[in-house]
Amino acid sequence: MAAVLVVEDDPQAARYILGRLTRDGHALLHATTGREALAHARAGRFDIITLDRMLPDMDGLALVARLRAERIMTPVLLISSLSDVDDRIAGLRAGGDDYMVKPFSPDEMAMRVEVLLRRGQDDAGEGRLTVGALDLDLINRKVWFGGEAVDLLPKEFRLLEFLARHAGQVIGRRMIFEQVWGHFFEPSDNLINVHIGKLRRKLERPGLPAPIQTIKGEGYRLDRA
Amino acid sequence: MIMRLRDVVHTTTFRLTAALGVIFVVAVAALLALTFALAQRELIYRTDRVLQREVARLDVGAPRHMADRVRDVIEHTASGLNFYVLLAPDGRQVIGSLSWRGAALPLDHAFDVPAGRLTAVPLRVLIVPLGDGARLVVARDVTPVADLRASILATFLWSGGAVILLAAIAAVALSLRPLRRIHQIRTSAQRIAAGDLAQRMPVSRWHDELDVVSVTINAMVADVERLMEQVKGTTDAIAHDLRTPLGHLRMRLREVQQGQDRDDPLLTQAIGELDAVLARFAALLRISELDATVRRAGLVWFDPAPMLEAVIELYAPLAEERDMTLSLQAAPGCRIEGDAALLFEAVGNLLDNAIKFSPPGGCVELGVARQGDRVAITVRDHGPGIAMAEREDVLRRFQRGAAARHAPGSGLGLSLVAAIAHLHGFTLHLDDATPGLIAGLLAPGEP
Repeated sequence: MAAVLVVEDDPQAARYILGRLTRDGHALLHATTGREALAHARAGRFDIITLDRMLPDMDGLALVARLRAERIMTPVLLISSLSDVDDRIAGLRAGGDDYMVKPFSPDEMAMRVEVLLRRGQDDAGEGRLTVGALDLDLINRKVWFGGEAVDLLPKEFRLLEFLARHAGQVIGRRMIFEQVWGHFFEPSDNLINVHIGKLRRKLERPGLPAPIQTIKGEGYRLDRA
Repeated sequence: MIMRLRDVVHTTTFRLTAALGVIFVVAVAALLALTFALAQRELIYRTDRVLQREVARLDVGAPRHMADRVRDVIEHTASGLNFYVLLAPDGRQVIGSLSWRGAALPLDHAFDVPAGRLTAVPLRVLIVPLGDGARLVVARDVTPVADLRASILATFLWSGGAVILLAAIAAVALSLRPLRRIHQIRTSAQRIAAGDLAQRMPVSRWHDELDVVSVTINAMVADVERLMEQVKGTTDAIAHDLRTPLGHLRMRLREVQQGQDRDDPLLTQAIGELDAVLARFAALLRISELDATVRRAGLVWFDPAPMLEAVIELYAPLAEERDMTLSLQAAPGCRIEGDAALLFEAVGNLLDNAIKFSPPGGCVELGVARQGDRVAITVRDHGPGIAMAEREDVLRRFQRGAAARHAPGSGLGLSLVAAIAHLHGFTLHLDDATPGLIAGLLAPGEP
């Protein structure tokens, strides 16, 4: 469970964010203006802040810059209708840790919150990651599935590692494209599908269920078991 | 600001000033030539009068004792300007102050003898027949006439040269200011053309014709900027007011879907169609944003070959699925100035199209090569190509070629590539690969 400050002036968007994060068991505080958010951030200790870029009294970027200037280093997920690359860059440059474009899928938003919460832990690097029958050696970049070695290309390894780190969660195509390939444009419909398909074929083992599931209209999920 | 002499020479001011200089030189030459002609005619007239007076003084009507009279004149004339020669009827020189050579003709008409032929000085000569068949030659030194000619010629050369030099200096000096302003205007115009609508043409305090044009263009650009701001505002409003409710609608449908025990195919289809609308919306907004972006500052020089390899790596599984092969031919030393992430997106789009429209089992070739002082990034497929008449249309939003009409897609891919090319100042060209299409980005090469 994490303490999350949700800064969103649009009631409907706030309902989706709050609803989805409550389902994940996080403790939430909702602010609708920049001033209110700043007061909460100064007073309390939050694990993460989700921040709408266009607030009635303040630009979200100005708020992030203000937080960083006051040495409040809580990870910030910026949520905005502005989708241009320059806007993303401006958001990240101002001190945001991730940037998500509206309209968004609540699952993807929850996923990004998870990624930011785990970032510190990931950096520690445990060296080995095991999800069900899948075993990843993160240092030597080797994979075993059902005890059998799987030969993967570097990008395939990164894709599998990303899915494995967020096992049990649905991850959207766009997020996979951003996190694994580092590109911020909309990939064509089939592009991520074929990469997942190829990875799936390499993980086919008789007697073992396919570990990667396609969630129609949403993305992919690596099963925990 | 570096101005080349060629630029200066091509200015209207330089040409007008130079033309005025040439006209002035021609006028000076004509004036001097006229002065010289009149002065020479007067001097010769006067010389001829002197010669006739000398002939009259020697009394040529009385040939007897002519030799004595000529000797007397020679001995008693101290000026040294006149020469006298008496020739016998057989042409032999009887007496004279110079040695006569050649025929003693014409008679009674004064004529010129150049310097060096009879004497070291030029002469005006009059030969008159005497009654006994003898001939009297009277000549006069016309050095002053030659001196006058030389002095007028020297005056012409010096003054003409000075006028030409002054005209050239004036032409260059007068051209520099307008040329500098033309450069400033051109730079401003290029920035405006590149999308910087806040840019204005420079206006001086002289209120000259360039200022009149600049003020008019500035008013026009201000209007365009205002309209663009309105369009941008509308776009932002669409982003907020239309995308957001569509997004909410999708979330609601998804909630309904998640609440059901089993999948409702109609609901799944509705979400899929909504996704397609949202994706099209996102692409449209992205093109608008790219069109309005001025991103010169973030551009860097780089070798596009590694970027093309990464594009191939990303699209290779898509090609493999259709039994297609992707290849890259990269010439060494090709560098372009650009935003690698945006160009990756552009080339990715071209490659995606190439794979989509090529027959299964075929190949798509990517290339980077120098074309003169430019660098061409090309994607060549072996599909149906795009008819010549459609090549401009397919770059417009939602326009698709006849061959692509039944293929999946929004008709926004090439518009997006064109927007990225425009943002970089590159040219997107579509050529016939017979069979297939060569889609290429033509970029200025590293100087």
